Amino acid sequence: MDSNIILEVRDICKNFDSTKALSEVSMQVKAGEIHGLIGENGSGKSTLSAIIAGTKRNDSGTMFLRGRKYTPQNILDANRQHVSMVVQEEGTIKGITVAANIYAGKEKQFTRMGLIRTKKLREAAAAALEKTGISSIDPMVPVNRLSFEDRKLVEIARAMLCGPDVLIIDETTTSLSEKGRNILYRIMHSMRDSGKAVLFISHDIDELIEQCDAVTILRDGNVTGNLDKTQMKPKAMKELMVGRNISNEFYRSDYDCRYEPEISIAARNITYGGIKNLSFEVHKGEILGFGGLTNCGMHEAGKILYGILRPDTGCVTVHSGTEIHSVHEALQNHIGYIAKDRDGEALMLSGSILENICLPSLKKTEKYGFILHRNQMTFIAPYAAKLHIKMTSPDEYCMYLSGGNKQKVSIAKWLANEADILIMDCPTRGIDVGVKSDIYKLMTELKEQGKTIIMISEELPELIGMSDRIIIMKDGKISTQIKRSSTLSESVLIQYMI
Amino acid sequence: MVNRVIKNRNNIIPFLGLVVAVVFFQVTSGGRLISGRNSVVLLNEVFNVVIGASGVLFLMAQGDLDFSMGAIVGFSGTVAAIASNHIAGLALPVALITGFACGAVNGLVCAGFGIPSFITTLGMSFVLKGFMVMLLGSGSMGIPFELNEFDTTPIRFFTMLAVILICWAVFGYSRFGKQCSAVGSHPTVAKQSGINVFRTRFLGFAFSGLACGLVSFFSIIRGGTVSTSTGSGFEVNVLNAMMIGGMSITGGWNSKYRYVIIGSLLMAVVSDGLSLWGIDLMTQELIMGCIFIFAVAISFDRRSVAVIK
Repeated sequence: MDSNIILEVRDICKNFDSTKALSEVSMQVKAGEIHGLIGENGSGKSTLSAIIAGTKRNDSGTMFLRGRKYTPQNILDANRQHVSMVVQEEGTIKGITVAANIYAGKEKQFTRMGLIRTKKLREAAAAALEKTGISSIDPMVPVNRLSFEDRKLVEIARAMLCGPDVLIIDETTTSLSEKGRNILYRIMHSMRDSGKAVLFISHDIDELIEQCDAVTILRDGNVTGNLDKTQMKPKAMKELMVGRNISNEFYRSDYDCRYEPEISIAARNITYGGIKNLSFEVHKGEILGFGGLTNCGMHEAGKILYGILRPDTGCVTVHSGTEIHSVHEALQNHIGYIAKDRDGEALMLSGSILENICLPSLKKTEKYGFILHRNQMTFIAPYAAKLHIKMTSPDEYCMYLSGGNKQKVSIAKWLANEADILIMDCPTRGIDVGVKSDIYKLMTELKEQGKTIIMISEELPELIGMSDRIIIMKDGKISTQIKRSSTLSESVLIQYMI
Repeated sequence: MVNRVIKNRNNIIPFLGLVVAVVFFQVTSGGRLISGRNSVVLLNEVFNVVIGASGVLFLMAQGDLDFSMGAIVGFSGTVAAIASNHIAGLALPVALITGFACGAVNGLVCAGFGIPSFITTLGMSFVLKGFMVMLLGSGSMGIPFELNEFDTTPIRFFTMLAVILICWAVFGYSRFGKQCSAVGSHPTVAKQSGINVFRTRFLGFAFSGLACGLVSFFSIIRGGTVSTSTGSGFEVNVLNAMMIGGMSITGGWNSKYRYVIIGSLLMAVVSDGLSLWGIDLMTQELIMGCIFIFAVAISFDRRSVAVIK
């Protein structure tokens, strides 16, 4: 065996109930390498990384770490063998401090007579943060007071704690800003330079090509390609991922900023927390993009428009002049809202696809006051079909769906409720190219039908590619409004964001 | 096939348990369990629990519990008894209204002030028991003799049937029922989908109280008196039936009306069967307790929670 290989995965299979998540997956990660792992949602990359990190067990197949057989019993066991992971979704424990999070499960080294010595813990945590290059976080702050990005950084510090030989990073960069990404890249490079390995999972092909030395591509649980640096070309990779030709251009092809003069929803002088005196109008048939840094207030603005948050002053009105004060009123005026936090706010994971889609429209599925399963099935069928939701039956639980499929369910929910105004907060966060292009196509279609879309996004190409108008927010205020044009570049937007 | 059985074990095990219990006690009691005379005993055994469980199902589907059920039965019974001593016909409406009102107070406190349901209802149960003692002194109170006429097997049977049909339809096939499950599954999502979470929770508590009111009426007309021990322990029986029936304590979309029926029947069959053997009440409770823990141990869906508390 090549002694240069640090981690080898051979013929790994994993089934969930009847679905095959992985079938005979093999992959080799060399020492001193950043190894990319890419594939569509549901292709099995998260499952594969979970098996390597010890949080899931493979049904068959073997793994080798530095040539020795590797069968992690759990995440701590994997840590002891110097394998650790930063997960895609939230991985911190709420309600306890940053320090306690970093050393969760390893508190024993700080105890004396059964009690934890907080001071020692704090010092160690501060050192761990320092080592990873994160200086802005106070180790004694409860984790839930941190922003999503800072919480991710805490997880990175925790993952680095065991001095990993193999570090798995699962779709972390999507939730990080420029600053956070740079910290992460620095860690990845230093791992590579010291002869260790990083398994880097991302949806962003450009980022992957830039960062990785080799890449493994998965599709429907099968390896469709192992490419080295010279073979990494965006078009070829996309084809291997999707299994069909994908046009390079999946955004809107037109460059005219056009919408009807009628105003469908407007915010007037809104003040809420960090948001100061925010006013804007959105028109019928318009896609309005909202951009900015994570805590510039754009996510809150979306929630205010939908009536979840009540502004301190100012109001939201729809075109009839009615003011929106609550979700109930928003629904009556045909507003729909897709939350950024898909698992935490948009979907009931323990509910079926059917129940999730029907939830806002229960009244529409009623017949003589009764809701029959049969009627619900016919009610959702056209929307499930339109969005190509991958499922064996509408009664399948949402918790078993992949990220892209979940997002399709939450969009279907609002299509079914015939929303005229759709507020989408990060509609393509953590979603692969295939589903992304489906969503963009759908947005264009909705625009043609005269619906209003407000897209809050942290991805600049998507804002530039899809919006008729872009509002950039900075520190709770609108820093600029830009109309659609073919010459708009990311650097222009960034300059207004920071 | 095997996979499907494992997947549906929450539904299959309680049902199998019921069949096994019926056959077992039927044989060991020499055919007395399901016989003309004993079926009336079984009905009375099932009656209270099935009504209470039907009411609290709407609440448990939301992930809430009601520990004040027994106290509400006692308190509603007391108020109804006082009213009936003035005008006999007031007994039923007063019992229902009092039950509903107690539930409504629970609902307002829980949903309005955001206090966990088990704290609120536990506190409520002490408050109501206190009121009962104030109203009754330490003794008991009789009710007009004519009310005893309503305590017949047909009335009980058809009341129970009506409650079952109404709750089955409302829980499984109406907007309110679906909203209860949605709130139990994920309150934030429910709220963002336009469900009035406050109203749903409030009504859930009120429904539970209303069911207790109905139970209290039938309890006092059966005994002919109300005392400070009326209704005591009722909440435990109901909770037992729900758990044995397969209900998840966290509620959500897995809540089904059939859990009420299977659980109540299973409880009734076991306790009646044990009585037929001549086992005393205290020992019966011991056995029920063991069955309870065993039932939860095999039916609790551990996949839905990351860490068992």
